[in-house]
Amino acid sequence: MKYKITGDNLQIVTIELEPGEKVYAEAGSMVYMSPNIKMEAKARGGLLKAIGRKFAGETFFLTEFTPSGGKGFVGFAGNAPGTIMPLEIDSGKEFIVQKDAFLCAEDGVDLSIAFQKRLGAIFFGGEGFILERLSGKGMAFIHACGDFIEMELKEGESIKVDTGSVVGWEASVDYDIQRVKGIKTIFFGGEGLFLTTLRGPGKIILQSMTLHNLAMALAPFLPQQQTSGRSGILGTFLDETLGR
Amino acid sequence: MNIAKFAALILFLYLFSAIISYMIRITGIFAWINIFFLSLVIFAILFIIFIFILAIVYAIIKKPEIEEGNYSIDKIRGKEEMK
Repeated sequence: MKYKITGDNLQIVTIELEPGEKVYAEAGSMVYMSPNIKMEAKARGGLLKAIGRKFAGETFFLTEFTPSGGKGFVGFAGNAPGTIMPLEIDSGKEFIVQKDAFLCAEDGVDLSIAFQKRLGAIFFGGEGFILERLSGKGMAFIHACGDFIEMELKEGESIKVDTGSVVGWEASVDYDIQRVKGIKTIFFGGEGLFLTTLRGPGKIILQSMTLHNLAMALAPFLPQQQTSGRSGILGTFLDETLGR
Repeated sequence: MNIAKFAALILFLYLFSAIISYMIRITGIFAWINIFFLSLVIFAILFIIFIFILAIVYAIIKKPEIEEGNYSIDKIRGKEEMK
């Protein structure tokens, strides 16, 4: 399977599918496809798995894409300014990714939910209780806000990260929290009470900006909702007609 | 922590709040409030207290550590290197 990631901060991944190959993606993430691609929505893995996916911020149905006749291509994009990253999933190389990070994957990759193991990490780690697990074999693509950096942590090697800024990590990486040192730093340091600590071995992916931080940065500049404004089809029609 | 443990924790908190709300009801105070609504309010309060206590406990347990060593930026791979 060939793929090409294009764009800078609003990336799109185009996957070329050979006959017999199949990819599946989060419903609604397809942007374009060649006319020979067959698209079919499926509750992959059955009802329970589909419900589990809903809890992990994904869609109940996933859409499968298969080419017919010859090669075909499909383009997928995320729903926020950010980066797409390919991950090679293999047995013994499972990835845990943040909620809603999954974009698309080869048929051999299994998407399921994973749970945060430690109570402290659930409430103060910044990624919540429910995560996504990518296992099986094949290529998977994840998407999250901001730019990504990746690091390979050796056995016992660790890194401290702002809570919520971890996109994904290999299943072998230990995810925990650690208190920020000093009362003054806790209250005025801007990082809060805890930091996330990741300890190797394994690969980790971090993001430069979270969707929450982006929303907070934009919030003061968003227009206030007018309570007396027109709404509905008639309102839209009038607004369009009047050029407002 | 698996889903069963997490659900048990939340259920325990709710059960505790339901008992408290029942005790409040039999005293006759807030007799006009629906007991289910009262239990939800108490659950919300208890949950906030639980999180607050948990934060204090973890702030004590999870002590900050400064690890000695040499760290270079060579191992950090940005978008350009990933392509």
